[in-house]
Amino acid sequence: MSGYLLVSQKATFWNFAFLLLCGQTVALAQVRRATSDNLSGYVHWIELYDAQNSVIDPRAENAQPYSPKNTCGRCHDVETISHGWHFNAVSGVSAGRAGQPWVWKDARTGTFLPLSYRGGAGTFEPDALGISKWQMASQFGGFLPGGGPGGTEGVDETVSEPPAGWSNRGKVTGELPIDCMICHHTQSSGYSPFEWTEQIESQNFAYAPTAAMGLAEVAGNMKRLKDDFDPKSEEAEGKLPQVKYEPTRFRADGKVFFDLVRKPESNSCLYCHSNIATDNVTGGRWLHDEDVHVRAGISCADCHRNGLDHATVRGFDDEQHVAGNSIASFSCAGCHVGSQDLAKNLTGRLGAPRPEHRGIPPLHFDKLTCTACHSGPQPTRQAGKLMNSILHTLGHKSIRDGEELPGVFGPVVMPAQVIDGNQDGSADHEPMSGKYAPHRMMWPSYWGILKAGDITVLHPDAAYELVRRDLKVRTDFTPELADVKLSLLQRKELLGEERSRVKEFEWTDEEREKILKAESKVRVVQVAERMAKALAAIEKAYPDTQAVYVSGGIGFVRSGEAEIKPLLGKEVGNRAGPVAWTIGHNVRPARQALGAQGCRECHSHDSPFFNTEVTAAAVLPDQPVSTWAVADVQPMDRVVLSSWNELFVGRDMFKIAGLIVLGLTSLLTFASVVSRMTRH
Amino acid sequence: MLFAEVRLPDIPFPQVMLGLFAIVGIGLVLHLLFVLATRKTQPAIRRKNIAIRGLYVLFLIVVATLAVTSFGSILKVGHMSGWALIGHTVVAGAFVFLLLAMSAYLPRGGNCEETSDRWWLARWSAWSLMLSSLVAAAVMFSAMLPILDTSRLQLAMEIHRYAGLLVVTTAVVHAYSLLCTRCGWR
Repeated sequence: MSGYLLVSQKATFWNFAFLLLCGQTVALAQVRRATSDNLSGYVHWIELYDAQNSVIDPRAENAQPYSPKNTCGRCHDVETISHGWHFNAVSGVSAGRAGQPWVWKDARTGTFLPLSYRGGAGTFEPDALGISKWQMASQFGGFLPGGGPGGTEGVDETVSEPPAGWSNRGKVTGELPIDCMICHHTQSSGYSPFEWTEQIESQNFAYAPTAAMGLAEVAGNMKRLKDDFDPKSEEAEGKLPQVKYEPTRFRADGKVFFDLVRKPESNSCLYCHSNIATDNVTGGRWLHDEDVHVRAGISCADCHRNGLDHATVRGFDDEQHVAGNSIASFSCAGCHVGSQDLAKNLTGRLGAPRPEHRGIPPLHFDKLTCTACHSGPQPTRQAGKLMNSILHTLGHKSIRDGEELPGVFGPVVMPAQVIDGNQDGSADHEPMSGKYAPHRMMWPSYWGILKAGDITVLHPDAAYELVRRDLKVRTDFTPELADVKLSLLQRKELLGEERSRVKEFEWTDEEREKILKAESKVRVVQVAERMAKALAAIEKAYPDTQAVYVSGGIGFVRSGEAEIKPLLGKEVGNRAGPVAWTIGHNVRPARQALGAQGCRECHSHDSPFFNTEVTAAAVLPDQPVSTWAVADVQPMDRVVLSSWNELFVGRDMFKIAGLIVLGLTSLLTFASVVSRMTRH
Repeated sequence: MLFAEVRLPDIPFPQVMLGLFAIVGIGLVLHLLFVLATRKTQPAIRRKNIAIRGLYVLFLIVVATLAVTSFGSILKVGHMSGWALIGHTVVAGAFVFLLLAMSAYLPRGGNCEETSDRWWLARWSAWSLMLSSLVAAAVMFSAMLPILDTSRLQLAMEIHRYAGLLVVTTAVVHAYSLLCTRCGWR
């Protein structure tokens, strides 16, 4: 074993050196290692290694957390794996189709800022906003498998003149380790991704894999350590989290059983990739169906596969694999259509049923993705509210009412990437030529400064420091700004002396109405006053600029000492527009697909497909929000569409009449032929 | 299996269309020269049935409209869409009903009884026009029903295109043959 390791490590070194000389990335270096290659999988009774590459003794006084890199990396090429899709967002790897952005949430300031290193229309680049990679890792690491912005690139980041809000505590916390088990654990292993998230929130980066796997209890919180804390100093020992290993998890020879699978189970994926309708959190979960493929026993990783490079297939049309592999057969069509050549008539993967789409004009398949008709909730005229595990921290134990921010809406069927990026100053929405696909969408909320018609977004932490005193919000922006209570004097004026002191539940309907109306007026004044003061505080810090709070597609600026006014359209530029990303799941079966009930499901004047409307979530109480119509971005002439829809009225009758007429025509023609032949 | 074994030429349709139009156009011009050179001095035929003449003219207008909305659109933007598609669909409905009326007299040369002394070009172009129209309409109707799957629908569209092309060319040839007989050249 040791002999093999020696050879392997030498090979790694020379490969590494060679690739450096060639100027290539380490990602390309896939080192061949010994593998079991048995389909039954390898039973992992293995020793734990810490960050110093020492075998962990669970009985040691100051036992260190285990390092997945050093433990798993003894047999697996962690270096190659660490450049996979889930880890390479900061590395400039081509994004392909835009995915869901990371949304920086700060409930204290009403900030919901869509961020992405990969670009994508409507998102903001973290570096451009002065958000460090360490901050990204700290903010989002709970729903990352480690690495990425928390990897080497994150902790080594140094900035000579850090912008406001910028922070890097990488020297305190160390790297965010890649935890192989977050994806490869089995459901029954006891591995807890919830524990992983909690440890990351406590900034216990190095301790999260150990705690999540349940190997040890981790006591301590690195978030409390000062920025200049040196974890290598002598006095650091007592301040760092304490690791108390569970002895029963260790065999007599010190080895631990890793209950893992090569192909991740769907539950592992769902921890970060759960998408649900809001009524799921209010007791309606049992009313919803599962994805038809999951129901049929297919797991996420059956389609979203990867090799050692962990370049996971995303499965959209015309996807280009970073490793150059042919992955077309992992798409919907790859399984369900197989070979396009009718003569060969080859089935797709797993011999999936070939969709017949009887009577549906083939033009539809040039214009629509499979998911347009088969995925996500059924479209409705007013887009429904949706929730997502990362955006709404599903997994955290809390009482939810479905109104949690950010407000995400869908499905909205439009060409992919229809919302123009807000980086280049061009129009909000541009017609796109991509296939129609269902989307989720949300509007950003953030604080910024407006200068010469252009908004500069403030770092959320910097904005908090500037506005917190005037906003008077402790934890939650929207409810606290909306919270007003009438004084006794005001109640006396409304209800009279006698009724002014009665409890709320004793109010009559008329009294309640009066109170609500009065509270609404007070609320408007309160919101305007606090917002105006907060905006003034920003303007004081950034002279010669106009502070703006953007939310729901509208910018709010100060108008006097205690007034705010909305900026619409061009006034606020295109940095207030929504961001949208495609819906892939849940996949609905054919009989629940859009159009299964007939052409008029889409080809009618009020069909959701062409007429969905979305009203942005109200983050700022009692203030206007944008209403957005999919008709504005679908690249088609609405008069033509309306006329086309008219042709579907009475179509069934036309078909019957037409068939009768054609039958008669055929008979007459046949009679003429017979008559001519018999005459001769 | 419906349409399963049908194979159509692997040539882009616009090329086939333009080629056929060119061949038919040149052919008709040459034929016209030949006809004029060898014309007979028969008295011009005048039809008395205004309804049939009107029906025939209407049929030609419908065919011309279908040709412009389909082939014109294909030549211009590569496919049918927008107003052209709507126009084609609406007029196609009229075409199907006109076809029934045409089937009553077209194979008989506009008379209620078959005439054996009709010029062969008028006779055969009438039959071709009738049969290709039937194929074009029937294929499209079958495509509107939940019968054909995607690959067969694609094939049906191709057959519809080629049948439509035949309708247009035979309509032109038939109109030409009528011109010759009405003028007394044949």
